[in-house]
Amino acid sequence: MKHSFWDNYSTIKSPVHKISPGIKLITAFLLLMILAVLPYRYLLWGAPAITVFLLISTLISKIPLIPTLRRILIILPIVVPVILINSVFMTNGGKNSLVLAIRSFLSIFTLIILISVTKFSDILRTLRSWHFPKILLMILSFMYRYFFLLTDELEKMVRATKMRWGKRSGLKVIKVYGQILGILFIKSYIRAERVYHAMVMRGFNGNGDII
Amino acid sequence: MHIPDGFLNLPVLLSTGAISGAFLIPSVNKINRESTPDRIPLMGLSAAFVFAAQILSFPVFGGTSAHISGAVLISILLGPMSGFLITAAAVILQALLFQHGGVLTLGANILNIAILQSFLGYYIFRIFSRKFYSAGIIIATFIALILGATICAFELILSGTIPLKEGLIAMISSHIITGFIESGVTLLIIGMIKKLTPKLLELKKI
Repeated sequence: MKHSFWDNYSTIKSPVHKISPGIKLITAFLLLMILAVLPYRYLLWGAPAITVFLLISTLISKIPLIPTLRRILIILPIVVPVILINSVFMTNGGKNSLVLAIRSFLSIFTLIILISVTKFSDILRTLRSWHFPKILLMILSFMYRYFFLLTDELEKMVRATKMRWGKRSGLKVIKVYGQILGILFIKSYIRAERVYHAMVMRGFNGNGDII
Repeated sequence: MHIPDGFLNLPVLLSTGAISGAFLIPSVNKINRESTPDRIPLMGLSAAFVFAAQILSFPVFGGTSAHISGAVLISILLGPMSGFLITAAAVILQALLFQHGGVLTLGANILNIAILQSFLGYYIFRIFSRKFYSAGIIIATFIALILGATICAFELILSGTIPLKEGLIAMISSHIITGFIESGVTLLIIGMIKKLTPKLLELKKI
């Protein structure tokens, strides 16, 4: 049971965590919009302003700064190749790449702060009150609850295979992993049946919100 | 294939968002109309399965790794609209919780991953499945994935993020191996289900 809970800071108590989730969602959305549409010459002073705003939010909300900043690096494997292709092959490549880097890094920073100061269930409830489709939000909330369990089962099966096998590579690994996933789907189906029965016992009839 | 925020320009963001919305509303309505209450936990757990399966990285030669998307698999098992909603939910959770892909780019990512792979994959499979069941699975998964990657490349090209020729070559070639793995694994999983619990292949396809 060792998972990196990406929203593990969302339960901290701070002034920022207390703000209504709707306001935080709208703020994050506006920041992302600004980053997406701001042209180069405005971005040069807009980007530092947004960075300062995000850093101040980080400090006030008592989220640890270094791990938060480290999370931004997750998009390096996506951003670096694109920027390389861009700067080598395109006219105006240097300026373009700078804009891409600023936009993508600040957007990801915004999202990390959002998920660190807002509980996922609160986000879902807010989206529900904005009339997002109920079925989609229910699927999301099921995923959020059961994904860790299924990942655990998956890791157990993979570990058991590796114990018997040692390190191997090639087509055989793909075959065995595929079979493990097949078993995992059957297990998920059986669990879904049990969950449904438990829900019916508690009065679920297909209507009502269960987010 | 998950496009992060900042890579697409406004026209592309708006048009892909509109397309995804146009698919979302009828799918939600149809599932609400036709599904039984026990389908909700089934779709939820299938989505959690897709999400867990996406964590498993397959070793590819040269030290790199690939992960499957599971979109075609789920739509073959549960039907195209369910597959679309489940994969879309996976894309949304990846973006919100793991910062894999962006929030403004959700429209584009849902189009490339959820819509193209679920609907296209399902209907290609249906065309082939009467005569060539296994080959149908492989062809459907492979074509749907490569087309998704191609559309993804065009979104980036139209936004001026990557150049036309080099971008297309890079996107498609990098997804060929993933495509083979994805189609092989989809075939294996469905084969496994067929052998152990054949009733799972007869779930209502919505």
